[in-house]
Amino acid sequence: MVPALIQFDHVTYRYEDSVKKALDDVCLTIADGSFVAVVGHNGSGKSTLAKHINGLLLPESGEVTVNGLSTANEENILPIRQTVGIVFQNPDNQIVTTIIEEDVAFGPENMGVPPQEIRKRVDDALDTVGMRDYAERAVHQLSGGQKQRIAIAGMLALRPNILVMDEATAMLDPRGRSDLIETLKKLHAHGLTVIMVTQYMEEITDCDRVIVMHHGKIAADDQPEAIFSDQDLLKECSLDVPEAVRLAETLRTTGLPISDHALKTEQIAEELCRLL
Amino acid sequence: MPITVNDLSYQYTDAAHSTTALSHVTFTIEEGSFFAIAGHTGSGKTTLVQHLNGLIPCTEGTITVDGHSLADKKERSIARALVGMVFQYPEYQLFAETVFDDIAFGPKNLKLPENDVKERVLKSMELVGLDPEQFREKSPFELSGGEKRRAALAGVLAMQPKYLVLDEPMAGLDPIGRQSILALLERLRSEFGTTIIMISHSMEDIARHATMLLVLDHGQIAYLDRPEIVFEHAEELFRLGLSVPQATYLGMLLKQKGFDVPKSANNAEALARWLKEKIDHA
Repeated sequence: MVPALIQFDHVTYRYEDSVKKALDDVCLTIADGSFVAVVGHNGSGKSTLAKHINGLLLPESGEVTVNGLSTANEENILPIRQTVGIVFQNPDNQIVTTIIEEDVAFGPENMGVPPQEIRKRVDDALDTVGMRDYAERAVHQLSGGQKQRIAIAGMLALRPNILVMDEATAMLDPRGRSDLIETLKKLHAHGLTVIMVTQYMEEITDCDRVIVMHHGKIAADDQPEAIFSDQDLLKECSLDVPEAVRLAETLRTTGLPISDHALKTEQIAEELCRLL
Repeated sequence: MPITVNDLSYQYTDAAHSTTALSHVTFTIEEGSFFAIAGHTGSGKTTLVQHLNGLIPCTEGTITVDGHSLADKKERSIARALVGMVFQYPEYQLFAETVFDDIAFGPKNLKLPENDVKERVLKSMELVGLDPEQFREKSPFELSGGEKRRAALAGVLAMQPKYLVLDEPMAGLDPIGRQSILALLERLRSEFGTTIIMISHSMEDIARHATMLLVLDHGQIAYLDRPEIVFEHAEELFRLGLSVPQATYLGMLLKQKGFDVPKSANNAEALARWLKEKIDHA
């Protein structure tokens, strides 16, 4: 049997000096090619979960495996990190050089990739995130959103199978955020497994699966429309809904038959046009 | 009396080049208003608000706070005392050993009697919803992200500013954290008449709370009006890298499909009523 891409087997984790379990007996399987969102309020355990995927954090009990390799075994960490790329919240903490193409080349260089191959990987990665024209520019001239795209390109140059975005859009403006989501959708369409930890419910409407974390446990694991129509769950886990879902709710209260499937304003408009 | 900004320009210069951050900006912030500032990254929002309490000195143009000019040495300190400033991610600036000491730092510097300092700290903690009994002796670093943010805000409130400037105060907070900050700002306005000046990317929050909206684009004023009037320019705002409330966006989409959505249908409830009527009569 082929091992699952990512497997959490009864994973528990506590931060140093804390009695509270940041992850509490979490079991989870993520299949190759999925586009998964992980949501939850501050301190729910969503980032802790993300940091377990590439062995940045190690379980106190239980096991995390990536392609069958356990993160607990130190020899597995390098191959796991070649499979899993993580992009974090603050773009300024992730860029190591001053010139953009050098930054993207940094990872493959460290892994001993031959120079011609590096050139190709850097160009491909910059193409994918739409930043090829900026290759020779200085990093400090970029906006936050552009820096995050460079951070992603740096990961892509390592040719990972899995990209984990750990609240990577939190510090971006709305345009930066939507551009980044478009980039992720494109990468997913090309076969990359994308796992997106986020606060912003607008970002998860295109995911095929949403995992809701609450007090270190998985409170729900379902499709976005099921999550957003479960009022008890939303309240219990203090989750927001996309503004479009709130708008649809207002329209329904007024007596307009808008369906639960309308998670975006464009979809509401389409449904209304059929009624008008 | 208001804050007036008159013909303000500012350039960032380094060895190689100079970048225009603000260009001939003129506006007034009325006392008691909820004044929102929006603009894409690099539009000059932060540079603008950092001028309001003299953090960046005016090099071109003038600013007065309740008639006190920031350019005048003597008046500057009066003006600055009126304006409280909450930076982006203010929790990174917590430093003292206890929450109490951190919040007390500002009032102590005013050389207030100890009892007054204590009273201000406890009042500020109550305002931001940090129970003094539970939190005063804690280290700021033991607090959760949302609690840290509120502790940092309490430190500014303890200075009792008449004008409170906040640079994206809800960034990175979860829904409960965001709502509690917005509720606090509304309470400050209604209970103490505090003027709120807030940079925000959330057009929904701006639509719900702000009385005025200033939109910056490349250091210049693109719009300055009541939010519902500014949002009438939805397509232009999208072009500037901003968004509009979803109700406004829905109205725009329906108009593009040929429906005669009236201007008065500029919020979710009004739009819903108009749509219901239209469908019932169809």
